[in-house]
Amino acid sequence: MTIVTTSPEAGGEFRSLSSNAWEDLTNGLQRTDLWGRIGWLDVKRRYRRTKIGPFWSSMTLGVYVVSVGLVGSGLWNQNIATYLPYLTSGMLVWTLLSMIIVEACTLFVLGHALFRNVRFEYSVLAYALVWRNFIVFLHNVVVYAAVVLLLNVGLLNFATLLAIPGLLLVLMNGVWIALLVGLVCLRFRDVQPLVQTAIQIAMLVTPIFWTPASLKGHYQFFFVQLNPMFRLIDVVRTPLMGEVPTLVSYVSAIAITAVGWAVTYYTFRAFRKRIAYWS
Amino acid sequence: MARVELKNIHVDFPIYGTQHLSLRNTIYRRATGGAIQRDTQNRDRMVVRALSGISMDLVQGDRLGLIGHNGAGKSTLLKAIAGIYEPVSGSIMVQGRVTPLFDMMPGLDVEDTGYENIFTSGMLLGMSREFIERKIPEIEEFSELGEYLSLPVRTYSAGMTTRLGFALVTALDPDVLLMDEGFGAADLRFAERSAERMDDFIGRSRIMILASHSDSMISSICNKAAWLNEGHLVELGPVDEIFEKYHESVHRGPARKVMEEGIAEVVDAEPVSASSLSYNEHSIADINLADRRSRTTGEVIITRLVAKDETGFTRWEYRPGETVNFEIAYKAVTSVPNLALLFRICLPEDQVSGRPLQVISEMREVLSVERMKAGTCGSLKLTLPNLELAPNKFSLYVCLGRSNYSGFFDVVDVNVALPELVVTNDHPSAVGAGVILLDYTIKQNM
Repeated sequence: MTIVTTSPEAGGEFRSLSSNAWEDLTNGLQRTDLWGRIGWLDVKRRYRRTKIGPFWSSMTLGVYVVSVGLVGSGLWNQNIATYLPYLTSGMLVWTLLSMIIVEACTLFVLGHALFRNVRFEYSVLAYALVWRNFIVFLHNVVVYAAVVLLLNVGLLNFATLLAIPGLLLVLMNGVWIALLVGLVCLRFRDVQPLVQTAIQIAMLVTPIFWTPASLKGHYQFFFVQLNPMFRLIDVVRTPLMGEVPTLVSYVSAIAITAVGWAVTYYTFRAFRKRIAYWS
Repeated sequence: MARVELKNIHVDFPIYGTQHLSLRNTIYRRATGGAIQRDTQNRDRMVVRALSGISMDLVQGDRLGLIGHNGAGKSTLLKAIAGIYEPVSGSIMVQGRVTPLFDMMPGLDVEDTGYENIFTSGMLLGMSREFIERKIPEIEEFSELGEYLSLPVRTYSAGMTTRLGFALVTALDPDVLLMDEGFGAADLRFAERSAERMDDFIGRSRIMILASHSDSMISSICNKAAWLNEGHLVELGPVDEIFEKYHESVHRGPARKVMEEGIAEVVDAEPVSASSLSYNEHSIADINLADRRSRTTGEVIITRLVAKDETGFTRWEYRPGETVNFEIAYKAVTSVPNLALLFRICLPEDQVSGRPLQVISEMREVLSVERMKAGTCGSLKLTLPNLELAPNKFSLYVCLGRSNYSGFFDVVDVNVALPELVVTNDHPSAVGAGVILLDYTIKQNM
């Protein structure tokens, strides 16, 4: 047996094996190849051997918003040309956000087969999860495009472009949500059903089917103004409706991002090393 | 230069029963504080020290074989060096890229094509996309899978999947190579065509650490050996020297002493899955205890349960007609009025056909009709002479309880990772052929 020393410098420096949370997050982000691939393959697997692939998700969303939209516009006496785009854009963001939260529950629980056999940055799994849901989101945008083009082209203007920074905010939140929820659900296995129930209720108490203006007084303050879900949806939905979101919404969304990341970073730093043991 | 330096590392595996993962328990514990907390600390939050004060310094050219019993800490040590389990104390310093090969194709998805899996697994093992692309022709050539590489892996035979994984991992350029025997290298190394590639692959690594039960494999590949026993590094040195001492001790049995002193050091730490604990033939006093207690009173615990053949060698696989001795040891935690043994041999639950667990044979014995004091220890030997079981897999259910069989103190069965009793004969297809062996004669009239 021979020992080939083709690149004597390949070894690099003599370093400690343990890494910290910051390195995990940043090095993980740089491994775009890896999380891009994991996320993409996840989508591909889910729709493998179907003819229209992820557009099944768009189909579901489309049928959903049209049927609920028709009932809703009658129920709340709304103009279908504004209500349907409102519902569609709200559902678009809601689907992205809620799927990230629900799937985050199994982030580390299902990922253990990987990280108990190879070492890689745990954050890679979170980036992959957000990326995978973003891919599905892009397919869902078709529904919005169809609804707006058919019913109310007038909604599209320069303000619509503000949806892009809004979406970036949502995605940044998606990563911390994935990490935090993933970590908590790994340690406490009964949080997962709790989250699923909470999400269903959140969908009803957040202005998605109904408009913020339809609530008054304390209710409005509690379910709309204080609702973080509303803020995150608002920074994307309002531009999609051709208007500029309020400053309050932007400040709130940025504050949610900052606080969420701070809590997550602290938790991740404290418990990251336990992940392999908890799984 | 590659280098691996371990300084006094400790790895603990906290044990818990399933209920300890729940939020309710933590809230409850926080809310009630005091008494329950003390109680739970002793009972639930216990930890098996898997590695204890391991130090070593490996330099370029070292090929280290890890030897020791099941549960000695070989795999845990490999995973600690791989960075998967972070030690609770001590430091691991590494120079060079660490390549852990515990799973031939990490992230393998059978719905993906061979090419897709090459990229996914390769990237998870730390290869860059460009590196994998460069290696594709080599992998194609060695795996001999041809057109199959464009098909989903689920269309492959087991052998083809192994070939793919082997072709992929041996394309790596490892600095520090970690291999567990579960990796299957043992079989592959001796397969003709693979042997050369495997040798070349290991030769390219600067440091290699291999955990194996195969003496011949370690002596042929390694130049050093580390003997682990119950998480301690007994000795590290030249292969031949260590093997000699190891075998000598196995025959004399001084290692037993360490084990009987108890493997588990109870410390306060975060709980971790019991499934990561393997059944320990020397002491089961602590394995999944919380789960056992949830079904029983825990007044007496079974501390040891092992199957031995006539020569006193521990094994769980027998041929029909052999003699099996089950050695059972127990300890009374509190005072109990009397004691009886219930020993069942069962056909395990079959999830495929939905067949439930079926008891085939049950043995009962009253062990004591008198009150036993707390702290009393005892042991017994149950012998099955001339094993009249047909080739199959049997699960065991061993229980200590009251002499009228009305209350159970402790149960050890498959839920505590008790190994199955496997009955085989030479013909592999005969496994699962039946349950019992009946004497029969056939007279032929023509």
